[in-house]
Amino acid sequence: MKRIIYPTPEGGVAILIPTVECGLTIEAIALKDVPAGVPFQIVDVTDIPSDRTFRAAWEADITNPDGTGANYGAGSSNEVIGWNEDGSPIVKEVTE
Amino acid sequence: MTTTINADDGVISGSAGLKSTPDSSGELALQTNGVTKVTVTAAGNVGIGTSSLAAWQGTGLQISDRSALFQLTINNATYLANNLAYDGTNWRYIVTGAGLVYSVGASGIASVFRAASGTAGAIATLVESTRADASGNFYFDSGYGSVATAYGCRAWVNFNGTGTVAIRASGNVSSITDNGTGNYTVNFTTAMPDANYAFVGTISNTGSASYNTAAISANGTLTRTTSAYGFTCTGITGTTNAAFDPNFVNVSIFR
Repeated sequence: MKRIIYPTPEGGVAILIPTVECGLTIEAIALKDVPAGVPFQIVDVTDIPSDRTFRAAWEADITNPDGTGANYGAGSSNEVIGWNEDGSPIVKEVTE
Repeated sequence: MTTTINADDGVISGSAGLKSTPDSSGELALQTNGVTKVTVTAAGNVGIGTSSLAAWQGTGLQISDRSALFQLTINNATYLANNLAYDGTNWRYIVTGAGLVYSVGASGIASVFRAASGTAGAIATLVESTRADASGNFYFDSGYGSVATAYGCRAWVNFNGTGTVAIRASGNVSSITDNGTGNYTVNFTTAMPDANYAFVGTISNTGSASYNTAAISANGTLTRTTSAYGFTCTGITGTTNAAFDPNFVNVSIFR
């Protein structure tokens, strides 16, 4: 099992837990759910501490990222309104 | 043996094939091996596997004793029915038993109607059980008493926020974000049409933390967009409260 980690603006680390049911690859999930332009790294679940006592103090070294959040990722002005058969997102500008 | 109809002189060859018998019924019957398999009535209705067709209003196709596909001239709607036929005034049972009809209206409304068991030829009372209208709205009864618009759960997830955070099951959720203690974001696989959806969440803690009350709430600094929703899980004891990681976090999004 994998996890996706990325730095938060406060200096901490956010951890994405992907679902199996969505049918997307972990790379596709990372591109969509990591904030736009933020570097991320895909790690093994065993790399994440299970002791959450000092969760707020967690940090991550993402000097060799696996990618960055796409322009339809969290915080962008776009959203994913569907998925093509090849796994690519159907992106639309948020109009609300 | 191949059966041939000669269009020039009407002579039919083949002793066990198509048979032409003069009568005044106005019906056309196609037989194989001496048995009628297809009947075309004077009204233009067609029966396959039956020569005893229900009294149609409009044009229909009946298969065996109770399956029917027909279009009514009164409303141009198409019907796929089991054991129900419309005679121009009433729906009637074709044979004794329950009936069901699926209608596709010319205006774009599709419905399923049911009729409780009745005797052959009796008037059937149809009750609408589901409907899809021209705007894409889905209606169902399911004990409500009549069909009403169904508003769906557009995303849901059940996850464990303790230890190694893990998702138990989900729908239309691509991931959850562990932002910190008791602080999560649900990311939707496919975005909502707007951010005016209703968020419903429950939490329960079977871990070491002990609180008199636990609550799940939106945090003003967290996300509420068409693509994601952020929230905080808080435990309250007396006058103090603190974010904590529940064992069970259940989230549903309705729109």
